[in-house]
Amino acid sequence: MKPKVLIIYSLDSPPTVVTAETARIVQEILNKKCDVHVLDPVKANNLALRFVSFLKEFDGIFYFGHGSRDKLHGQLWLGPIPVGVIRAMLTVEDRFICTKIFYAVACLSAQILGDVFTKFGNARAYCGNQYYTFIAYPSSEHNYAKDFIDSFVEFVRVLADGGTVGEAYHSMRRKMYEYIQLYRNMLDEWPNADFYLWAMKMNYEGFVLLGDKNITLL
Amino acid sequence: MPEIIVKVHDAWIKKPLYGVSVSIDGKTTSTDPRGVARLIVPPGKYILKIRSPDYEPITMIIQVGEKDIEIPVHLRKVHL
Repeated sequence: MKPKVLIIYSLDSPPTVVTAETARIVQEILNKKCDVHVLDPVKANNLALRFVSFLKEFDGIFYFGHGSRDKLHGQLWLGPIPVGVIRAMLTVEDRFICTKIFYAVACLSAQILGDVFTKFGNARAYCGNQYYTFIAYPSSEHNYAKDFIDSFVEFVRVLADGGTVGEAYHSMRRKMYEYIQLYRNMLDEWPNADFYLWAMKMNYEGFVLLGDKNITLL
Repeated sequence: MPEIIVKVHDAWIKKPLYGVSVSIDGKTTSTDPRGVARLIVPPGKYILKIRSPDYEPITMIIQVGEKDIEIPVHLRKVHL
């Protein structure tokens, strides 16, 4: 039987344009080997999540969008209006949602949410960022967005090839390190390389893997 | 000498951005609460760099003549 995965992505601000594209590529990769269920921006809310997680247990949940220390926001229909006006998509209260692997390309969520999900909830491994996740936009000198997407998709590629979550995490960080070296070498050539070097380093240092490193998706 | 006035706004919510670093030819200043940064330079060709940890970087070449110039800049957020 194919593993069941849930992909959640939002599209509510310029950074989420890049993460939505990341989600699309992740979906393409996972479609070949998994039974994929997608919560697109229309359905990226707590009600839809509770509904699908009531019907199915997932082997992997892949989230792409905004986050904070103890929540993943889902689709922010009210744009930049702070969360609190509407309920966030995922909070620590949702810790009993069943999944082996939780991957969150979002800000800060590994600080509290990831910890609660792996220690007191049903997620066996959680990969997310302790700090802010910096995305990148394409520019005339270099397509930084492609590098961003490539580094985060690497995690899913390894899982889809049968690797453990620990191997996927290390492979993702190796990819980020390659881009750090590339930007360092191009500091004099690309006008914005200094900024992207800093941003990629922040992602490299911020992403952590919590829980069991030996879990596989397949 | 001509003055370069850089007006920095958030591209999404259109609010002025305070504390954004603006540098030209080694001279650096920050935007005020109205999102405005001012620099005085002699006429010539310069590289203008705009940097903020929360927003995308901008690097552009500008030609400064005898008159003041105003450069509006709209930045997109770079973190989730």
